[in-house]
Amino acid sequence: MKTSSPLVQVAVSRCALVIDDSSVERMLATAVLQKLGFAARCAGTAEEALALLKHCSVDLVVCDLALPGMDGLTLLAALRACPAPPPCIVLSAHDDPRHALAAMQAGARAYLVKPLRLADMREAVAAVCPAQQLAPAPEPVDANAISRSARWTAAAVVQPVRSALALLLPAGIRATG
Amino acid sequence: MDAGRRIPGAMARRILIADDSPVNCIVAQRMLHGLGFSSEMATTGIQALERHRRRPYDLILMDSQMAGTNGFEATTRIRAIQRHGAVPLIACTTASSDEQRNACLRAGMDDVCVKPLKPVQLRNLLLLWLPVHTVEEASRRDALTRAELLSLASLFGAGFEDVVLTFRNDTEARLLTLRQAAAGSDMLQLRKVAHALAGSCASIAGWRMAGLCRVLELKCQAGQRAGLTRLLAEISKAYCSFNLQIDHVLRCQQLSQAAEHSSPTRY
Repeated sequence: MKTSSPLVQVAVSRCALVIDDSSVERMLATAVLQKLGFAARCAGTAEEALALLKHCSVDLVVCDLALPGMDGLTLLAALRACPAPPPCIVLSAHDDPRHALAAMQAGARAYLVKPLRLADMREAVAAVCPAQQLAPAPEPVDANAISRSARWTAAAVVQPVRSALALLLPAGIRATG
Repeated sequence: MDAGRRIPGAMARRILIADDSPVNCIVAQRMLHGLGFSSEMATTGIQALERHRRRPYDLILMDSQMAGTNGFEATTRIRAIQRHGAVPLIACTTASSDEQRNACLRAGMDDVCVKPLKPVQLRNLLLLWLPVHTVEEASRRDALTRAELLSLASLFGAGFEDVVLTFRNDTEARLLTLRQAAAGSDMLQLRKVAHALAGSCASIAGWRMAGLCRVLELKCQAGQRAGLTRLLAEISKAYCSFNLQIDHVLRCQQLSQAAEHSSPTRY
């Protein structure tokens, strides 16, 4: 495994789960995550992902919003009901605040607009699951609201819709540089 | 680095920005300048119309909600003096609602972009809507595609061949589905498949295909049946030329792997 940034210099390789029904996009996400030091597993549907998560744990989930069968938002809700939910990064073709807000409210920690770029994912991964934090502490499961810190993290990585989010989120997030 | 972002042949193109907000105009002008274009501004729809009538532009970026003669009205009048498709008209809207987008397309605009403009988005729009003038321009655009493909190939490493194989299988199946859906006037299926194809093309730097598929998706959404066959033919053509660039990059990768393998420093 190549180490191209300080982010990935971890002895134990972390595991990420990629959920996307498009095989080319799944391959791209997998390659990008591998570049960032993750061992990546894949699923084409939300159902497949949930079945996979029953018998193996992952450090990060990267999922699409539009999936056949159970959609991405429902999957996010299902993941949050897990005892120790892994952080989720949503990867979507929709470059608008409406979808981003819905994803954040469903529990996503970051929202990236497709096509995926290595730099965006690197930034999101650094914010959502930093390398030094080997065993992520289980977050308190709060079905009604996302924590303020999570929103901040979110605002920092949602580059394309950040300013729009700042207007929409009631907490009043300032657009930070 | 900056020169790499410039669009080949930009100097020869005239672009009009029609927007009643001077700030928006200046932002767009700066971005266009960064891509190598010089542009002119109009702050009302009527001004845009007059300027275009006097000396036609190669492309117009039109705010849909200008004071006075708005973008829709100006579009209708520009289309009335010229055959449809003569000048690419790109709507710039603040709202990303489906109704807004549909209204723009129905008024006769070719494509829609959502404000605030982003350089990458603008660049892809211009590459999509400005036809190449010369052979040299075409080959320079191809070179840009190959450069992006090469960086993807280095990300995927030996797996790039697999990605290409998957992309080709998926795309050929989807193109077939698109043709069948068009023949049966199944707009819902057309829209769904166009969306999926746009996504996978954009993932591997097939920007022209991705752009055309996005336009197809928008057209289906707005219920516009006119020109679908031509658009499908364009997508197939873009696929063929993208495939040639992929082949080129695959060969480059194989050659460099072979060279690495037989390198005397290894022994």
